[in-house]
This record gives sequence, structure tokens and C-alpha cells, in this order.
Amino acid sequence: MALNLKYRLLTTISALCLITLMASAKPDDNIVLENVEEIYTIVASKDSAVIEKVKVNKELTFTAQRVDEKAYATEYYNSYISVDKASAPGTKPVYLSDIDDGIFYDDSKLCGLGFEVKKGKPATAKFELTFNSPEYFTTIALAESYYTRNKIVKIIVPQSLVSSISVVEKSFQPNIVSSVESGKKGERIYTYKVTNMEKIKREEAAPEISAIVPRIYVIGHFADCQALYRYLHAFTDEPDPGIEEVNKLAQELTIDCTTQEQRISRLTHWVQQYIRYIAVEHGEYGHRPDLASEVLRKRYGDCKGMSSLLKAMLIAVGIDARLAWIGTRAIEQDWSEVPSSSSGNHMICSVVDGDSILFIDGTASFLPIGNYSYNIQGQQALIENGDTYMLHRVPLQSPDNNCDSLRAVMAIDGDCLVGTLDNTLSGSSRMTFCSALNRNDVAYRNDFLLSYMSYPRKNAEISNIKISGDSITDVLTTLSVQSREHGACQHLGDAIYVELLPLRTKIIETYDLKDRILDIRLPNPKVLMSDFTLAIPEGFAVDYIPEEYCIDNEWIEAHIAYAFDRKNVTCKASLKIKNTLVPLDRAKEWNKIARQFSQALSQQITLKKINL
Amino acid sequence: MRRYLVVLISIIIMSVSANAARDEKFFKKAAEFVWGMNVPQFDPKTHIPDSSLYNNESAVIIAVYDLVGVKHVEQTNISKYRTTGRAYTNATEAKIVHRCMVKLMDQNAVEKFSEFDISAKQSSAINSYSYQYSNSAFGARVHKADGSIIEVDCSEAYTVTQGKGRKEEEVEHKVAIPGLEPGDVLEYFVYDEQWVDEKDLAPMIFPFAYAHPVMYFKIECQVDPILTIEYRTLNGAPLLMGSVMKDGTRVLEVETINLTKAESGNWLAPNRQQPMIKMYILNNNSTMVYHPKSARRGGVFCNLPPVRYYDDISHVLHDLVLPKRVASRATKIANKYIEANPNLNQRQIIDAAWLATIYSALIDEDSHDQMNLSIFFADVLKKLKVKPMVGIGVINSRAKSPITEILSWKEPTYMNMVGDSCYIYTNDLCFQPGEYIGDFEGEKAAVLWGDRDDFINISAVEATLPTSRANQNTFRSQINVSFNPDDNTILNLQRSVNFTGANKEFASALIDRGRYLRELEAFLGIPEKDQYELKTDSVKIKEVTEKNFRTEAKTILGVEPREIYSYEIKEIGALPGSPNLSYTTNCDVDNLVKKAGRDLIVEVGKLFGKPYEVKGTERERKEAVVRNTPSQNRYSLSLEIPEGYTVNDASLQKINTNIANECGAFYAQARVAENKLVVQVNERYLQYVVPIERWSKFLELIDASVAFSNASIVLNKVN
Repeated sequence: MALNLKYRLLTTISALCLITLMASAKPDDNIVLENVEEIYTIVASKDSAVIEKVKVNKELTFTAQRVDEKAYATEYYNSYISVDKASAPGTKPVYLSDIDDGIFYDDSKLCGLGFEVKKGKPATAKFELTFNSPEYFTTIALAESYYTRNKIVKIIVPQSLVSSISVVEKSFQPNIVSSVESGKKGERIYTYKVTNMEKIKREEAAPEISAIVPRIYVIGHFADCQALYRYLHAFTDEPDPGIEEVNKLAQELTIDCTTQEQRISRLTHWVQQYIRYIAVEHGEYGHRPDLASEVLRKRYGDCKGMSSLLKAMLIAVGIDARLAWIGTRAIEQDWSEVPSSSSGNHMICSVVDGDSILFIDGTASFLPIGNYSYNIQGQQALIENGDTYMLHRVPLQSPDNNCDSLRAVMAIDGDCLVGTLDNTLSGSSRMTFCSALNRNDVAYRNDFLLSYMSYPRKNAEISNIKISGDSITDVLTTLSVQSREHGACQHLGDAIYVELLPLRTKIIETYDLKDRILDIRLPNPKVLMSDFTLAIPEGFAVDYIPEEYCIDNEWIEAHIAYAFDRKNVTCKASLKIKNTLVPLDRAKEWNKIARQFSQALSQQITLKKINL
Repeated sequence: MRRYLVVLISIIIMSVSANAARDEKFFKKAAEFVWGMNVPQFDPKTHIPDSSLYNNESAVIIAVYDLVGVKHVEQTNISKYRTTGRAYTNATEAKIVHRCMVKLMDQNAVEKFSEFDISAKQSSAINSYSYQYSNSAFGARVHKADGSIIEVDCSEAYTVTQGKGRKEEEVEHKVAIPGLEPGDVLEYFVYDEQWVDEKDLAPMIFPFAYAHPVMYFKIECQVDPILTIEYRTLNGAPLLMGSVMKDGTRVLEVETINLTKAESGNWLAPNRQQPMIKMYILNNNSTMVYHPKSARRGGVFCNLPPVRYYDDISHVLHDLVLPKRVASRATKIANKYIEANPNLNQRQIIDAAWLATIYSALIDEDSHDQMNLSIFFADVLKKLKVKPMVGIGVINSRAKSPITEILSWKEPTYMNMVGDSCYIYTNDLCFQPGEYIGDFEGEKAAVLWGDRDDFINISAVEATLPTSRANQNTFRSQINVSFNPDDNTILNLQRSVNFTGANKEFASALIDRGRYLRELEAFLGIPEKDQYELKTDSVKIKEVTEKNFRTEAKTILGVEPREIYSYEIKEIGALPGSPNLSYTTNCDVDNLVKKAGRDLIVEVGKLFGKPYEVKGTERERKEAVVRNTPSQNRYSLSLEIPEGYTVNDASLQKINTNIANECGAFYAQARVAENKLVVQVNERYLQYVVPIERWSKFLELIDASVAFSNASIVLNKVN
């Protein structure tokens, strides 16, 4: 989306693709930051009432501990942030475009300095930047892209703004010491001393960096949420000369709808199906939604554009629809806590009906109306309300809404399990599956389905594939196949060993903890369920079925239970992910749970020949 | 995010001049030119026939038209005169149009064809003398089902820039097609203008297979007679029909219909299998840029016999002047080695010379390519006065067209022949002198024998590199498996892995350059005081090596290790007398032992690599299988049977597999010996190219390998 958090974060995440997913930030990394000094000087406007701009001076001193090596220092900038000076020994700065993968176009750029650091000889890179638009000066990250021994950050607030500007500190650790003092001219100086800070590091299955990196929000440019709302809302007030086309289409599309729910569904699905997601975010387009008629004409838009179109279409058929600014889970704080544009990075639509609010995300194709993606559940939405605003939290929803249910009726044929598999998907499980299916060319969709339904077996034959409910308007998707799973059974003398694998979607796994520094973020909450029936071959009886497995902890609830009678063995299994965060100090515990679960899942049934 | 990258036939050049915003006039001129072309096949109402070629496709390309117009420009240029002393340009000016009309059948196709990136205007100059320039324009229109047409307004394109202030320059333009829906027909073009003084245009490739089937395809080239056109029709592509215009402009064109889409999947070699025309339009009259004397000056040359290019190569090798220091240093090292080892035979001397040459080139302040290395090596051998004949030659790997189909001296890999031994340098630091990656074996080479000074007087001689046998390219894995005493679902693996021959390529990433150089120094007897100062960070190398071994476990062993305790590279396989690349590792793995009541089931099949499973449409194949080399994989697993358990004999027997056919064999056998389960697997692939007629046989072996990966052994609890 939209409000590109990256450049407001003012980190030195190196994006030159020369330092990429870095190895663990141990103190024995060769290149470390010995000292960093970062000074933010807030400059008041002429009437001293507001922030006019913010000047930044940053010095980074690198050392190479063992061998000469190249170091990289980078700063982001764009239409609102300028790099006024950049220098480092023996090099000139490069200025490159740095557009995120999910964005078609924006004005994000980075200024990079790559220079040799000789062993034992510190080298310093310097930057001077200016935030020319104070709306974009929101966040200061305290971690760097190298291990940092010492860092000092100072924020200097001029006397005239002392009463309006303040800071909110997030994810601080004991190695950060803060102080506040007054300067000679009555300015307030916030000082942060950081020692031995790990470098910003991307790890597998970890929370979003932006939500966990120690950071400071500088607030006060917007006095409160109302001021912020006024600023954001101003971007949405532009008259739309083509609105009649939008209205006309909305009315045509809903001509046979008799209820509000039907109209909402019809229009939402239309937008999701026919408007491609293409994000253009340069300059004020990071905040300004495209006109509804433009999104309609172009048949593409980003989350803001899609929301803008959807809102207009809903209003055209008499529904009270409003825009809502929201932060995804990449953003930890609420608007009410930090009234700044850094508290949001997404836009959705909301339908107000009395006291109830229905949220609609135009970008969440294949998710039924009323289901919310986990990414926005629990997050605070800033909703239009004329000249004022409303704050409302997107409700948390039960993982039961996102269900992947497998029913199998199987029999043994040689070393194969043969039978039918019926897979029903709902909620986000459905959304993930249908989105992936539709990304394949028509000619290769069957291959995708074969792979999907045969997983995790090798050498499975899948045939007679039937799929229903895979259109955008459906709520449930069902896949039905005939399956022959080679190697799932072993006939050994009088015994048959059968591996049912009752839960086949791999979502529980162990994680490599060596050198890990971040918490683990498990997959989004969902439910896997299965119901297997295995016909016992004539002349055989059950010799062993796996013991019941049951676990219910703060992260998962799982149950695997086998039963049998003369004719069949049945297995009912379920797994629910409830809570996605595993703190690092409990990661070993998680790995143990994951292993136990995996072992329970892979236990085998033993059938023995009946001795007459 | 998906983006349809239009492959432009444009030169990648350094941009040093500031440019204005996107050139509206240029875009308009391009649109007028392209839309004005009368090509009736670009009909949006074209009916897509109901045929196996077009059914069940996300998109069908109705028409493609590639038009290339190239002129020679000679005019006065003051800037050039001031910079070079030459007053006239000797330039090639090209207009290249790629026009395409595609019917979008579904939303997937809409997504694929909705975004385009086009290179921005670029130029290169020395002082004020601009010697290269290119500019690209894009245009599109959407034909709706109701017959209406939406002209895409390219003023809505976004321009990506880099640089700052006055040095800010455009990099590319990005266009998102508005109003696109399934059922639409998208028509678009890329129009490219290039101007290059004294140099050649970049080579052009016209593929006859796209990602989607094509109903109509036309190529048309109009080229100034002063320039040289050389092209090849590859893999069954049709010839271009030639004619001459009144002004002497040469015209080459071809039209064809109903092109099947390109095959996708594993074991493919597009340069050897997909029809295409490769073309060079050359300014061989240039005297500022090197051209071999044998280069053709003016004319059209189609499918020239390769000897013409061999002649070019002989001239290039003859003419090239290189710094003497690399060969001198290598000769000195080799001489000292010979002195220290007086009983060396010729082969040993040559091999030492090869290693000395590589060493000398790797530590040199300049970087050197294969051509340089081949010349250095020949020079060193000349100084050492070795007895066998020495030659410098060229060859292509199977990833490229064969050497008999090259179109330029710049294309092939340069190598040496010494007697009947071949020396090819690649970046894999694991090959002995005379060894090389499998993709070269069986390939033809063209060799110039003798002194480089005489090359222009002799002809290259073709030779074919020998093919190897499967047992020369081996992978051997010995795994000793034991159960963790505290948790019998965890297995400890002590592995000893060995690669020989071309198979060493698969583990070459494990060898770091520092170790390689040190081993060369030790072998060549370079004293410590003369050794190259490695400026490497041992801690980082250790980190990288550990990461590589983790990857090795996933890719070669086939399972993600729970924990790696140790690893050691025993031999790098790069030195004479030491042909193996071997290493050991010690790790724990879990998830391979399942419980079945009191019994245990060990998924031994998962310890024999991760075979590629051929599924779905991939099982129906049209093209030959292209592998790198005949090869043999030998696995030997020894599993300590835990106390209180015995191996179920029937499960043991089930593992036994024996499949052999003309493509190779898959053999597996399990037995119990001295309280150990011993599993041996032998996989053999006899050919490096498997003809399509044998696809089912090849698949039999692959399927057997995949089936074996399911293999498990039951350990019964003893009462």
C-alpha cells in the first residue's frame, strides 16, 4: 500500500542488494558500527506554531575488526525528504530508485555510500537530510543494519514547540537509556543512548521488523487524531467529475439485488474481480486515493483506489460507506496512541449501519464479506465521519472461520491407499488456495491441483479432479479427487502398516534457533480438520492404532484420535492455531511441541491377519 | 507483483548525460509509424480456432511482427573530430519494432499483460563526442469485445530515475494498461531507435516459440548494403527470404503461422531445442573498433559454414596483445616446480603449468576471462617447450548452441588442447587439470594448433571432446546412521561424501577460493613468503561454509538437518593425483522415524537425495532430455539396529528394486549384516542426451527413484 512506512522509518536498512539477508549480528562481525550520532533538529515555522521542517545530521563510524572490507551506509529519501549531503572516504554517493516489489511505482529512493574500511582504521560516513514535509517525520529507528556498539540519538525541539511535540517510545530494551533536558535557548533535547544494539535482521517466520525494532515516534505535528484526520481526509475531498459512470455501473450491477447484504456482496466482488491491484504511491499519492471514476476507467488501483471506488459504488446504491485508514500487523500502535501517518499503511472500506460497522477490504479477493484477513484483525481503523472521525477496532475473529477440512474414504490396495479425498476450504485458507490457483495459466491449473492434492506424498496418482466454489463470489471451495497413494502402506507378512497422514497441510514446523534473535511468528490462525475412514481389508484386524494425541496450549490446540470397529479404522484430527507469537525465550519449547505433533501425526496403524 | 518484461533488442550502456522528461514527440512519432503499418493479420476480430494448439490457453497471441530497419550513417561530426581525430561518423542507425496482438482469455492473462517496463533514453559520450544513443517508445491499444478501441495514453507512464539534481537520469518508463479485462485483445508495440558509432549493434534473437501459442509471426529486416548481416536459423527455424530494394537496401523476411508455445520443464536446453533466428548486423568497416581481418564487409550471410568464424577466431587470437606478467609469473612457478620434481613426465609438467597459469591469473590485479587464460596457458607451455602439440580452441557447452552454429568470435568458450587432452577453465574450483564440467563433453571444439603467431595462416581443426562413462562421474555417499540414545526418533548421520569427474560440479560451491589458492600453492611448492595475501575474513567464511553445508544437506542429502555438529572438506579434487571432491559431515535429523505401536518405521528412502518428481503435463514431453553428463550415484547406508529391535525381513525385501533399461539403471538392495541394516542404492544414467523416443524409459528410472524415496524399513520390537 500506500503510506510507505519504509522511508519514514529512517533506518539504514541497506537496500543496495549488496548486503541482503545478513548473517547473525554477532559482536564478532567483521564490520561493526563503533559510533553513530544522529541529530534531529526540528525547525519551527515562522509563526512558531508548527514544525516547518526537520534537519538531520547523521554520522556513522565503521570499524573492521579482522580484515579490510567494504561497508555500506544508506539513507532513504523521496519527494518529501531530501539528502542534502552524503560523504564517505574515497567514494561518491549513488542515488538509486528503490521501489518495493509490491509497488508498481513510487518515488522511494536511496542514497548509498560503499567504501572500504581498513582493519583498525575507522571510517566515517556522513549524511545530512531534510524532512521538507513534517507530516513525513514520524519515526526514528534505533537499530542499524550493522551491529552498533554506541549510538546517540538527539531530538531537539525548539522552545516554541516544546508543549506540542512529544515522543512515544516502543520496543525499548535495557540497552537504551533515555533522558530529557533543556537547552540554553529553552529547547527540549531528547537524548537516547544505545549500546550494543543488534543489527536489523530478517529471519524466517519472524514478526514484521517495523513492529519490533526499537523506535521512537515523534508526535505533535498533528495535535490529535482530529488534526490527523483532517489532514488525511483532505486528500479524499476532490470532486469526481466522472462519478456518474460509477453510479450508473453500481446501479446496473445491483439491479436485481433485494437486500443490502446482496448489494454489498455484488459490488465488493465486482471490485475484487475486475480491478487489478497496481500500486502507484509517489508523492501525495501515498495518501491521496485515486478518484473512483479513474479506478473504474483504468480497471486498476491500489488499496486506496479500490476503497475509493467501492465506497462510491456503495453510496450510489444507498449504503453508508466510508473510507477507513488502518495499520496492518506491521504496525503495532493505534492511531489514538500515535496520531501520525506512521500508524497506518492500508486503506479499507467500511459500511456503517447504526452502531455496527462492516469492514470490506477490496484487496482481499476470495475472502467472504464479513471475514477479515488476520493482518487487520484487532487493528484500529480511523473511519470517516464527516468533519470528524470514528475509531473502531476490526474485530478479532475465530480461527474457525479459516478452515481447511479434509474428508477421506480410503482402502488398501497393495502398497497403496486408494480412495476419495474431499477438501473443503473456507476463509483465509480458501483465499490462499484460490489466489494461488488463479495465478496459474489455465493450461497448468490441473498440474497445480495435482500437486496440491498429492502433497505431501511422493508418487501419488490423482485423478478425476472436481472443483467447485472457486469463483470470487463463493464462500466455500471444494476439491474432490480420486487418489492412489503409492507407498502409504506396507504389507509385511501378516502385518500391514499404514501411514494415513491425517493432516496434510504443513503449517507446524520447527525452526532453526542457532543465532536466532527474533521471536517466531507462526502462520495465521486457522483450523485444519480431517476425517479419515480406512476400510480394513478382509481377513485383517487392527493390531495397533496410535494413541490419542491432545494438546492445548497458548499457541495451538490439536487433537488426533483413532478408533476402529470390525470394518473400518477412523481418524479424526484437528489443529487450530490460536496465537501466532512465540517469544524467543520459549522457542525451544515451541520446537519440542512441533516435533511431538509431527511425530503424533506420522504414527502408523498396524493391521494383522486374523488367525482362523 | 507480476510485470511483463519486454526484452528489448537494445544495448545496455552507461548513461552520463542528463535527459529531459519522457519524450512525448518521440512516443507520438513511434505510434504513428507503427499503427500506420499495414499488416492485416493484426485483426482483433480474428477467430481463435478450436484446436489443440489454442484450446485451454490463458492467452493466444494473434500476431507478432518484428521489424528491423538499419542504415549506415556517414556525416561530419566536429565533436568526434576533436576527440578522436576522425571527422566523419561511421554509424549504424536502427529502428526496431516489436508489435504484438494478444487475446486475453482470463484474468491471469490480464495480470500478465498489464504492466510494461521500457528502457529510457540513454546515451554515452566521451567529452562531447556522443558515440551511442538509444531511445524506446511504447504504445498500446485495447480492443474491447464490443468493437470499441481504447488508446493507451502513454503520458500516463511513470518514469523511474536515478541520480540526483543535474545528474538525475531516467532509467525506465513503466506503463500499466488501463481498462483491461478478460476477453479483450491487447495490441502493443515497443519501438526502439539506436544510434551507435563505429561499434556493432547487439545481437538479435527472434524466437519462434513464445510462452503462448502464436497464430501469425512475421520478421522483416531492411538493412543498408554497406553493413554486414550474418544470421543463423537454429533448431528448425525457417530461412529468411531475401530481396533487394531499388536503393540497394537488403530485405530479409519470413512469415509463419501456428507456432506452438515453448515447452517448459526440467532438462531442457532452449538454445538447442527451440527454433530461433539469431542475427548480427555488423559494421565491419569500422577501424576504431577491432574486427578480425577475416570479418565479412557488407553482404548477407546466412548459415555460414563455421570455418568462417573459426577464421575470425584465428585472427582474434593472433592479434590479441596481453600483459606478459601473468604468463611470466606462471612460467616461473612452473619452472621451479619442474626443478623441484625432476622426474616428471610430460603430462605432469603440463598439468603443473595449467595450475600455475590459473593461480597466476587468479591473483593478478586484473581479472581475466577464458580467452586470456587460454592464451596465457599456451604461452607458458611454449616457454616450457612441452613436447605435445598445443592448441587454442573454442567450444560451447550444451547450454548454448553448438560450436558449429556460432555467429561471432565473442560467443564461445575459449580453451586449450594439449595433445589429446582438453583444458577448460570454469569458476568451479574442483576440477583437475584436464577435467571440466559435464556440459562440454561430447561437444565439438574447433582448435588452432601451433604458435599463435601462425594462426592466421592455418585453419582450425574440429575435434570432438570425448564422452565419459557413468562410472567416471560418480557421487558416493556412505552414511552411518545411529539412533539417539535418549530419543529414538532422532537419527545421527555420519556422512562421507565423494564426487568424481563432472559430478564434482554439484558440490563446487563448498570450496572457497582461499582454500583453493592455498592448495595450489602447496602443490606448486610456492614458499610462504611468495604466497598470495588472502584478505578474507575467516569468521565470515566459516559462516558461509556452514550455511553452504546446511544447503548441501537439504539438496544433496535431501533432508533439513536438525543440527550440524561438524563438517570437513577432505579433498577439493582440483589437484593431480587427487581426483575426488570429498567431505564428511555429522548431523542429526528428525522426522524420519515413525512409530507404529511398539515398532519403528524408518524412512530410509529419504536419505538418498531428493529426486525430481515428474508430474502432470510434464510427463508428456516433446523434447529430448538434456542432462550434463552420464553419471552414477552410489549410496551406502549402514544403520545400527537399536537394542531390542529387529529388522522386519519383509520390509527389507520390499526395498529391493532392480530396473535397468537403455537409459540406465536403478538398483536398491537392503540386507542385515552384523546387527546393522545395510542399504545400497545404485543409480545410473547412461546418456547426457536422452532422445525423446526413450523418454518413457528415462521416466521409468526417475519414477523408480521417486518411488524409492518413499521406502521405509520396519523395526519390530522384540518381545
